[in-house]
Amino acid sequence: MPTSGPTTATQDLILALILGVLAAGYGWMTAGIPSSVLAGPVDAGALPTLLAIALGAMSLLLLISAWVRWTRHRLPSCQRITPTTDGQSIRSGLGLLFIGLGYLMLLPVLGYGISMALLITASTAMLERRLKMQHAVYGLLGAGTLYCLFVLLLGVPFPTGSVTSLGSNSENTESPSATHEIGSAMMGRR
Amino acid sequence: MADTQSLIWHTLTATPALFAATGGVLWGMFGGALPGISPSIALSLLLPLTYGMDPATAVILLASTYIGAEYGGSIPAILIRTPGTNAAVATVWDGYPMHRAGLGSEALGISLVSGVFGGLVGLIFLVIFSIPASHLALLFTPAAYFGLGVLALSAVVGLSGKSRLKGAIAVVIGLMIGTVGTDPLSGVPRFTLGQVELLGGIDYALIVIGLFAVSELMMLAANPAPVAPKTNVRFRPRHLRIPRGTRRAQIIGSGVGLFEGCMPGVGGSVAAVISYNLAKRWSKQAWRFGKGSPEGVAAPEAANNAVAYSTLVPTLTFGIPGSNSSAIILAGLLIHGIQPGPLLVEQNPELLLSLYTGLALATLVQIPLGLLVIGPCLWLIGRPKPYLLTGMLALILSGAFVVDNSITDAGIVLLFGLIGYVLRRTGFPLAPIIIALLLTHLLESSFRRALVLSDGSFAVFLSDPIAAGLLLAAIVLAFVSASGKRRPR
Repeated sequence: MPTSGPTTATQDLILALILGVLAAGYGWMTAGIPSSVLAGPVDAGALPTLLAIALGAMSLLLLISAWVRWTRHRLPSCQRITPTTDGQSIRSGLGLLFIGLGYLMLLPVLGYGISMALLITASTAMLERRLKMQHAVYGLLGAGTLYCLFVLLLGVPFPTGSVTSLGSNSENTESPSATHEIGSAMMGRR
Repeated sequence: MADTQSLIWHTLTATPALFAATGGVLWGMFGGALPGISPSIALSLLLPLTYGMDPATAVILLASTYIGAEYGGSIPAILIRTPGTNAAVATVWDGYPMHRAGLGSEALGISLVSGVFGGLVGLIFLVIFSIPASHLALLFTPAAYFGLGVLALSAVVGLSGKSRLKGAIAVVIGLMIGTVGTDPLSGVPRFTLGQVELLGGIDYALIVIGLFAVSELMMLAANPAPVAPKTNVRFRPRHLRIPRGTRRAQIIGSGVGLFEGCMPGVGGSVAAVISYNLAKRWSKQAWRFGKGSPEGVAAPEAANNAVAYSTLVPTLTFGIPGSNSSAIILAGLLIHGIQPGPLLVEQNPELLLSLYTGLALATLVQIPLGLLVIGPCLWLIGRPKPYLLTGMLALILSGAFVVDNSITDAGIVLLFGLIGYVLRRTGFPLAPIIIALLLTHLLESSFRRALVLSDGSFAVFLSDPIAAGLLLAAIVLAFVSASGKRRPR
């Protein structure tokens, strides 16, 4: 099972910088947490402040250790990223994510069934690096199965789609009322 | 006693416990059998579907999935030399040589029977020790709970693999995600960006699905495993008669599994490797290990199944998950408003009894299901990976919508998938993030309650003997893991 990609000093350097920025941003947002008399001896901003400092310190440690490795070893050839293979593999991983995002954008427009069929067809074709008729068949079968499971069996109110419901009075079921949203948030979504 | 019996009978007859146990084991076996699909993925895919269930059925389903995945992982380990789960790594060492020697069915039989043996031992341990452990937990003050939380995080960092610094950073990231939402003591909103939806925090299910399932799919898409070679095996009930001499290995494996399951962050893989080494050391036929020894299959299989049960002891009684799979089960409990901890036994005895009954069912149905699933599992393993990956992506995105009937939730899952993917590629362990996330509330509220009770005096963490002991243990563990050698993995 692939657990992690090749970890290089360069990657760690970049990541340490990103984590440093994250720590700074998180610390900056911590300053905006209001204090309350109900908080007790330690207020609501204490833990976030501590975490921001900890992350900042650890990203600095990561930066130093990565810098030391980078300057000492100059990345041995066995650890170097092969641009083609790694670039290709990253593209496949990110491609799956972008197709997922595309599905989410199409969902309110085309509805669950059609968007799902497109998602399955497009992602299978992307992973096999060509589009075949059987991908479309698989997409239709997969979408049909999931439609039966989630919509017909479990009754999940997936969006019907603004295009597919044109001319009918049925409402798009996606957006719940504001009251529901506030209610579920106040009840604690966890 | 009569109440207990009637509740067990009620669970068996009037609730969907049997279906949940059978379905969970079956789902887990298929999930475990697919190389690359960890029990965490199988569990996180189910998590959104449990929203509509009652808490007992949901927990039985999740725990049964974990149990089923442990056996499922051994199928490709024995037949195609590819462990389906991390915990099945040690099973490869003797399982595959047995298959090469024409004893594949016998190895599967040993794996199944040893898994059930380890499971039964683990179940007895869970039933016997969860109530005393919860009584012990009642003695814990908020300061002691804080100490326990710190010890758990220290253990998680210590066992986080190649880089402990990255493990520590992962813990901090998990705690940071956990601070989003309303402050547990004062009710002040933190990091909600003015969004009402974030007042309750980010849903655990979305984070778990994104970090584990989506990121793993992206990794698999990036490094597609080759289609497994075709293999054929006839697995019949007669293969369940296991050879003499394996009992000792099963006992060793179960003992190691019980102990390791209670340690935060250890999980089945470490237990399996340790039990394999111990079984080899204490075997009369140590020379056979690595060449197809039945004991070499029995010990790790008993161990990783025992872990699946014993890891529930700290999860249920202290609210401290022992592994990432038990962290997902803990998330399942929290989603249903069940707060694990010492009061769980007092306030929800029915839930615990239903869980025990469901786990007993799940353990026993493993035998018939284990015999039946071999063919379908081998068929599934042989399918081209793109089809499996896209099927799972479709299931994930549909499941993410179910959480709150919101497209935004599915977007959050993809966002956490991207974060998980970047962290995986850069060598960060993900389990510490989830465990820290689930412990944020316990850590922060215990720390602040302890200070409220002591009028702001930090000396409370030293004057409470349990808290002081646990914090000292956490410091020692941190130093030992920072200076010690890496554990064999």
